[in-house]
Amino acid sequence: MKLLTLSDLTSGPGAALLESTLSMGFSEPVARRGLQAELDAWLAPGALDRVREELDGIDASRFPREVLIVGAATLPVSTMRACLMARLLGARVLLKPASGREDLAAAIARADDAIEPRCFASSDHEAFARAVASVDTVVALGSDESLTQIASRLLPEQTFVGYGHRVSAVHLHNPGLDELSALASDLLAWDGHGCMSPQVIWTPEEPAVAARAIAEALREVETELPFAPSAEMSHHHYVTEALGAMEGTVLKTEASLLIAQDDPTFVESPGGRLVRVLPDRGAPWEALGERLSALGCSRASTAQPLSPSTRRCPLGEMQRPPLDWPHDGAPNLLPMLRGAVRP
Amino acid sequence: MCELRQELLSFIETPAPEAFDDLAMRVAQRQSERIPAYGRWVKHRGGFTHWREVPWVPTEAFRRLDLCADPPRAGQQIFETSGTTSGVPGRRRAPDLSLYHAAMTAPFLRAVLEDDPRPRPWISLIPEARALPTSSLSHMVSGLAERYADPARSSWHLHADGLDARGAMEALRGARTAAVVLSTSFALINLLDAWEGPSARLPEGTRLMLTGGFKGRSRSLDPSELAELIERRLGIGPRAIIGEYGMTEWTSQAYGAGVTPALEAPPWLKLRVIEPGSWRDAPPGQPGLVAAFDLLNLDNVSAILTSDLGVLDSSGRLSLVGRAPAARPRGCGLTALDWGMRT
Repeated sequence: MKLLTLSDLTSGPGAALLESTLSMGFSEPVARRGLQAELDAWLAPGALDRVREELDGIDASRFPREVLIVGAATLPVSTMRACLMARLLGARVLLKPASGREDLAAAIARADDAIEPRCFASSDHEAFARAVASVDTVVALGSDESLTQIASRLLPEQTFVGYGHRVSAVHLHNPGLDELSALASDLLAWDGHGCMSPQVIWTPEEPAVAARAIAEALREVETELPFAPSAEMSHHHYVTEALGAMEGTVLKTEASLLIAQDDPTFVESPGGRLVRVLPDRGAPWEALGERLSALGCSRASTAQPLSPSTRRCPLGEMQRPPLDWPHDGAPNLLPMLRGAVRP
Repeated sequence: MCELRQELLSFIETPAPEAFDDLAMRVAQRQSERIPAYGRWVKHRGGFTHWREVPWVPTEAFRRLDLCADPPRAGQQIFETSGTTSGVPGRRRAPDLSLYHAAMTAPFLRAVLEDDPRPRPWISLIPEARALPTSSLSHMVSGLAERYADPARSSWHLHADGLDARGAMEALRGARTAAVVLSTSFALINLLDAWEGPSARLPEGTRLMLTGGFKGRSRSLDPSELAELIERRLGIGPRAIIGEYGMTEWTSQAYGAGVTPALEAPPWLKLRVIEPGSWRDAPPGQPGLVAAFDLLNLDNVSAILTSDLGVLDSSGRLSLVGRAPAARPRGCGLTALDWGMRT
């Protein structure tokens, strides 16, 4: 599996991958840690074989010969994983990066000559039509609206796999110090971006008290993981901080913002190391249903996600899904097969 | 009437620049003491020793909080935003309109009427206050019309049931003396797009007061296209167009000439351009977020951070250059591709 050469972040394609990740605005320690976590999942003993087990008994004629992957802008790892899965099926990959992420596509393609970057503007319908003409399968990471639009432009015989928007949360009950530290790692990974980054921490304890404990843990960990928000992110933080201070309690660390409030209702956060600490009253995470990608839980927590597609995991593992994790509750390879039924 | 309000009324009557700092400090102090939520925000930011340090309230806060120094009473004026941008309207409770009424006249008279108070025909694509009582713009325009419009020759063409395009076209084509035309940008575009029959040729001396953006309620036009269309359809040249900049969250308004006006604020309104992140004043020519200190927002909050992007020139005049991007969800795939929606 040539893509595994990405695992050396010091030279060759891996170094280019790191460079492209830095250009997305992450600090080097954050980029390294995030990429390494993903590559560790790839290299875990037996991980690739466990994924391939999905294919037991499947006629190889159903494997796609060519897959178009429409990549993500927020993080590199979801695009990387989508490429890996397509390559596990032996398919050639056309990789359409998000605008401004051409370097990421080039880095991934450097690792494997069966991956070809296809860079064009999202509004270029003709280029899309050309890219999609030869492929059996399209895998897209995007907003639900984007996925609908992409799917509508495919032929009926083409397979479509869309990974839409999801959110993640934490249930924190009576955590140990080690768990607070692990939670801090979850919060700081990828600077709080990505579907698996916790946006809300629900706690049966007093939110402001829990927030203080979390802030302490964040201060310990964030010294190793610097973060400088963009101007746009700074604006969103200012707005959120102002509203948070007017309606609840705001705790700031060097690079993180915690908003403790009394209303348990989930509120989407703009990311950038901003998280809400809310009271657990009546299992509020259940309202998220299938939108909840991961629910990180402390050892003492008995919280259970409502949807089987939600990954319940220990703190510290939220942004480290194993390779054979059923993405959005579905197998990783079977949905890409020719003739697979579109969800 | 409270003493401070009386002083502000005197300031409107005879603005003394040297009095601004002291008045501003007392206004902000009163607001932080009488509006509990705002007081918490001020405390969180560590207080202030000069009006330029007073923590801004983002306009988003008016969607969630009642930021008013007086307790609610029946019959109080409540102004609401359109809610077009977020889907949730912002609300400003205005228990005493004496400052509003006193301040709206002089800047309008100077900028739009060129200090000529004689009654003229008004043709308005802004609803009357009685048709849209929660609109601060309608309130202002109706109040000004009582003073400066010739009611027998004036007409209102935006009603609860929509734009009366036929009536507006007839009024515009039928104007025989210099008129005052008032519109939001989107209402004017919608009228010009619906235009049928011969163009209007409004008499020399006619002035067009234009306010607001397009807000997705009409197609967007760049300023030169808009100016060209206005001249072609209405016979109103660029020099007869006056831009007005105000908002529901403010009491005051700024005006400037042309479709891309360099806006001049009255002495009681300080407009600043702020660099998000450093939160320092941007140097002239550098874009940033528009922040205001509206001295006359006595009963609400004077220091307001907008989501407008602007640039100050060396004379302190403000040009609006766009809107700050709305906060985006932070999923793995989001922002990757707004297929077919992004250009």
